[in-house]
Amino acid sequence: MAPKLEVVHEKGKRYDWGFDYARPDPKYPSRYIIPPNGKDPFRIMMRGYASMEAEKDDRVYGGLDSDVRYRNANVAEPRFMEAMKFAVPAFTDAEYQAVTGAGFLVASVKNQEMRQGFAAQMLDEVRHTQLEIGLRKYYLKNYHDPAGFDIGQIALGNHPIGTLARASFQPFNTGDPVEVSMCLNVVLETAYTNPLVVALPQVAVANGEHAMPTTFLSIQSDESRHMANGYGTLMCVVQEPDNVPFLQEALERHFWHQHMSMDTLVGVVSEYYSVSRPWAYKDVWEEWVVDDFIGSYMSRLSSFGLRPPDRLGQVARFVDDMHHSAAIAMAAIWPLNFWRIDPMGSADYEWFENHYPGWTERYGGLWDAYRAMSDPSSGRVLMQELPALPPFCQVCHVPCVMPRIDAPETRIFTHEGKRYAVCSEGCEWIFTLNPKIYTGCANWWERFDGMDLADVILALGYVRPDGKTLMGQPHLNADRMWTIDDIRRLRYEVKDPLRA
Amino acid sequence: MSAKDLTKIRDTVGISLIGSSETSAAVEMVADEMPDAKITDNDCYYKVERERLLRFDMAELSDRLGRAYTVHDFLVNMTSYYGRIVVSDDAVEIHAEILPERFRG
Repeated sequence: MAPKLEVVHEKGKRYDWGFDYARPDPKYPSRYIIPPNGKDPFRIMMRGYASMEAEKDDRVYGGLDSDVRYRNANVAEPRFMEAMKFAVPAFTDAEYQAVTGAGFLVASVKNQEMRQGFAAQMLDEVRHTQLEIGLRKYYLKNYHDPAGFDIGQIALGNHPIGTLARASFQPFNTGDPVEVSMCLNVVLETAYTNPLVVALPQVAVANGEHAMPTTFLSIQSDESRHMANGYGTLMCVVQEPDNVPFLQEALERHFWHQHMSMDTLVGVVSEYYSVSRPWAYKDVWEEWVVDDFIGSYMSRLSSFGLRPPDRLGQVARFVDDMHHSAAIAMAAIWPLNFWRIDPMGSADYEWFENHYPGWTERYGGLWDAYRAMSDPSSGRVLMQELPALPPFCQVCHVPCVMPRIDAPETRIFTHEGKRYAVCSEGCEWIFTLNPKIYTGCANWWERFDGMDLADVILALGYVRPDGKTLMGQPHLNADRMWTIDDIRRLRYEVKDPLRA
Repeated sequence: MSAKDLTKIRDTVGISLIGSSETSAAVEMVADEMPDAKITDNDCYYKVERERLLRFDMAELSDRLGRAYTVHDFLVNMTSYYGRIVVSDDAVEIHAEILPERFRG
């Protein structure tokens, strides 16, 4: 009879060794007191881990083979498939940043049990990257309109809103190691991967797409262990009272930032890239973030002096509207996208009005205009009709149209002689914590200020193999596609809204 | 957003299981042995929630499946959870309390 997991796990810890043979040189020092008594709830051992992950992979790749066999990629709603062109590379950005983050934590935590959990996480993140590349290859080979899947990662990195991913996920491996775990394990993986990677697959199924749920539900099975890594780290450090103010600040910072990026991403994909909607995003957010994360976890930490995030009420207010504003902003700049956006129609209007009363008055006119300009013969694009292009937030990189495009809470200020925009009070507070983090990258519009829109698209490489048809299109029709010549005829000059 | 207390403490714990024949056995076990649990079918995954404690016994699941079934097999199907998880050789438990016994001291 094999020895029990608990016995082997305890015995394995006896083979730990210290760092006295070399001087550890941590990438970033910690301001926290880190007691040596952290626990891994999963009792990860490499033998069990390897067999478990091999079984998971077999199931995912078996599922993809089944999808190939039954031509599922072209049964799924094209509206949803177009979202995968930017959403999957955004996931991969997160995985890559997390690979290095988990490695950083292995090197930073002087506790054998926790290190084992982080070592498994590092391997998981590599696995996720590989699974996502496999998913993208599946889409590329099997979906009837693959343009955009072929350049997804570089295209996302150059996209005006795609940089949201880099801004959101860079904190996974930069800064104090405890705060890396707070951002990655506690806030993103415990609160926000659930709407993203558990709830969103249900939207995929409702829209006939099976490969994404097969892949991402398996990925999330690893995230469960990462949540436990966060719990082990948090429960270890929260018991030192001197750590609590630092933890509170880290929770406030990362909760607001991940809310801005994840609530935008999941809200937009689930409601604006689906034909069939199993739920409204505000309800999913309330279930997974408010009830499960705050109510069953963060609120229970009050006995240690840690509070739920102070801006939770603000987040709830933003969640009612922000993805509607982001969706129309993404549609307005459609020539700068590497995917296609289907105009909303009467059935969509009815659904939105039923679930978000006042939607039609607030957003219906903009979608009417977008749809009216979807054919190249219109000779117009929606971004021409805006009084000015919205700046992008210097912290979270969403367009500054939040929470409502008709009532944005944008703040524009000067720091060391340069003008910056942020989308909200929360992002302004984050900026002030450490401006150096956020002043290193140029505002997206600044890079292309004064250029013709056609030349910007060519510089980004968002054209199809014929060299003239755009990847981005304001409709899903096979004919009547916009070309670079149609855009050049607009004579539209990109202007940085922050230029003095 | 409903007018609710956003920070109210809950004693509820939950688990999400990927749709599979093994998950069907686990869901049937919950329905039989924890009738107070709430089970939601979300098309490609089930969410199972209960007050205070969820416990999945591997011997019981092995019986239901008619073959050996380990915690690692179970974790292949577990896509998410909330609450405090404790994994041991013969069971997966999820507790509402913030510091279950294994994490004290």
